[in-house]
Amino acid sequence: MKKYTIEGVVTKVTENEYVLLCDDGTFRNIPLTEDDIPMLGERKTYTAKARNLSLRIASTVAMVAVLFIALLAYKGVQNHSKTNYIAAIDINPSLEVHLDEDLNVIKLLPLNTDGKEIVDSIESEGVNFYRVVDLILSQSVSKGYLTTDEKGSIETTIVKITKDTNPPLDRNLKEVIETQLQRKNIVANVQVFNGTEEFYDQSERAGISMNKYRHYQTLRGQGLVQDIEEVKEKSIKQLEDMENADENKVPVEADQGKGDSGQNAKSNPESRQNQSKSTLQPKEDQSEQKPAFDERQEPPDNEGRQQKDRKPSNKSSTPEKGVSQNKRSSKPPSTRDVNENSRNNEANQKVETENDKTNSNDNTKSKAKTENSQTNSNDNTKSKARTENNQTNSNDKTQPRSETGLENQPKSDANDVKKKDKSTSKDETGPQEESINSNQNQNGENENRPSSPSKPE
Amino acid sequence: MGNLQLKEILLEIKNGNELERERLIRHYEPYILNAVSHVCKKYVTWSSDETSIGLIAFNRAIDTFEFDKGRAFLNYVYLLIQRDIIDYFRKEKRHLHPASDNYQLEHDNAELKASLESYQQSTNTSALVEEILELDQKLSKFNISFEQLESHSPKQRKTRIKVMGMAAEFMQHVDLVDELVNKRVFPVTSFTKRTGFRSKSIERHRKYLITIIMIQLHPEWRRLSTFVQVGPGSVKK
Repeated sequence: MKKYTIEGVVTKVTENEYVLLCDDGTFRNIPLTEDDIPMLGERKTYTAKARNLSLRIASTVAMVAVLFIALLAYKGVQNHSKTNYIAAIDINPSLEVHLDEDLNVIKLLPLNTDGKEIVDSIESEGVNFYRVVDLILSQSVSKGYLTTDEKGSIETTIVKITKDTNPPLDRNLKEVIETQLQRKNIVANVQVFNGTEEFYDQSERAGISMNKYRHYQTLRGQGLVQDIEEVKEKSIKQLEDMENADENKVPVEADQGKGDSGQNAKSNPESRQNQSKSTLQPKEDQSEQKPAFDERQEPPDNEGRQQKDRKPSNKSSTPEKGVSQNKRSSKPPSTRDVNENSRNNEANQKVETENDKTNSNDNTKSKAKTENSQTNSNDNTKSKARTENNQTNSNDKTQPRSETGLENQPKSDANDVKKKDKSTSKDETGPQEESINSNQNQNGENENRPSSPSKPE
Repeated sequence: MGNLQLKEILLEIKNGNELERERLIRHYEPYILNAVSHVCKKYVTWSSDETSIGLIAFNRAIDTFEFDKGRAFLNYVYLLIQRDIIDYFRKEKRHLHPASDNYQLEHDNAELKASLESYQQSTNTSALVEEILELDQKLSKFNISFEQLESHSPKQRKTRIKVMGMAAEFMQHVDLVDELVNKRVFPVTSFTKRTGFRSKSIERHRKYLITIIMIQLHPEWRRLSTFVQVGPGSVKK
């Protein structure tokens, strides 16, 4: 440790220190020691300890190191957070993936409610993009957005943000998606687009994914959609269907088609009920599930009734009387059918005009028409078989329905009480609902249906 | 305060000029305090008993000092203060703390020797002390005290030389010096305009600069002047 001395003349003594006028003309304050009070004018030599040189060097080095590390960390963070690509993936879950130059995921953003579910279940940070796509697909399969039963539709758009990087290989991406789909036995239409940054900005401003924005643009061009919100919660497939349906439709019916597509949404797995409802019955409380069931139940019933007139039931299942009952019950304005009729009349009208359209949602328009009759006939038998059950069901449903037909409620209640006697047990309602669901969910599965409704009986 | 000046003042006081006595006491106040502290080996203030004893001793020194004996006034003062305080300690023996007790026992026999020693040692310093006291008085007019000067002193050799140069430059301008002495304000603006020094560096060392200038204004402080000379002599290690 280095020592240095201060030599000078005492000029002043204060309580804690004395002031030295050093030989070089500067003044130094020196702390007083216990029993040593220097005289004024006395020559004093003070030996001060210099700070440890090695310590000083060490502290300097440490400081430089800290600065260096901070700089590195800062750079690292900057590098890391630099988004080179943005990819939008839409099945129905709408997702946006930000990628760095090595195609590692920086962040994964949900663009709608379904997307949020997916994002929550995926650990994506720093994972390779293809791996994340894999995960997204398997998650959407496990959550029922993609099923083996129907042909799905997947669209991705990749946008290059920085200029100096190569566009990601969209073919690779397509392959990854397709192999993953094959593994899961899912048939889906995979499309990969390259977008521009401008396009991304536009879609971001609109708050939807690029793929949906593309659809929105075309749909809007066709006059099908006015508000971007209508597109937001729909699956790509629905949007495609809307576009396709529209090509065969006169633009006047476009609005109906809108509502219709909503109905069709019901034909998707349960997870999509909410969103489909939102478009179908915007006035109603969406949180209640039962009206949805009703509605789903009703249109086929009505179809059945209408078609019944044309062709008698081709199934010789037992409760023929029930049908007549049902028919009759539909006539008096007091029964719950009135409630539904009043509501579903619109739907019915549509159903007649757009029966084909309804089915076309599943992308198999031509097929749908032929199957439609089958569906309806199935529904026929079902409805016949279930007239009683329907009535019993209506017990449960009067409450939620009360929103739509308030005046009719007391009457229908009374009716229900009567019919309750008829209703056998609750057990019947359970399987019935199921079967209805299955019936309406999958138009393509019509062949299986005749067996299922007959089972409970 | 030169010897001649002091002689005149002492004569006046002996003739009964109480105002001069008062002034002399005021002038030597720091020294009295310092001397008492030194003898007591502890820091004392004006409220201590020892200080009043020192003050009384100083008063006696004024009355009894004789120039003809060839002694420095301050040494005589110190001698009297020391003797009186030791007497005081003796009287207050039972209250005495051991340190001063020992001190006094040790020094009782060697008192003469010690005073002689201190006389020889301080013949040089008494002049220096006079200078310091005078400088302190002058600086107090500028609200500068010695203990503040450390923070205003230039630490680096380069800056020290620069500040010394600044002071020398300032001395060239008589009107500025007059302004400084009369108004007791450093004329920073006019000085920077004339010389081109940056006002910031002046402001940083202002108090030190004033001190240097005050010392240089009094070449009669020969001992102090050696500390602030610009040149190789001033930069000792």
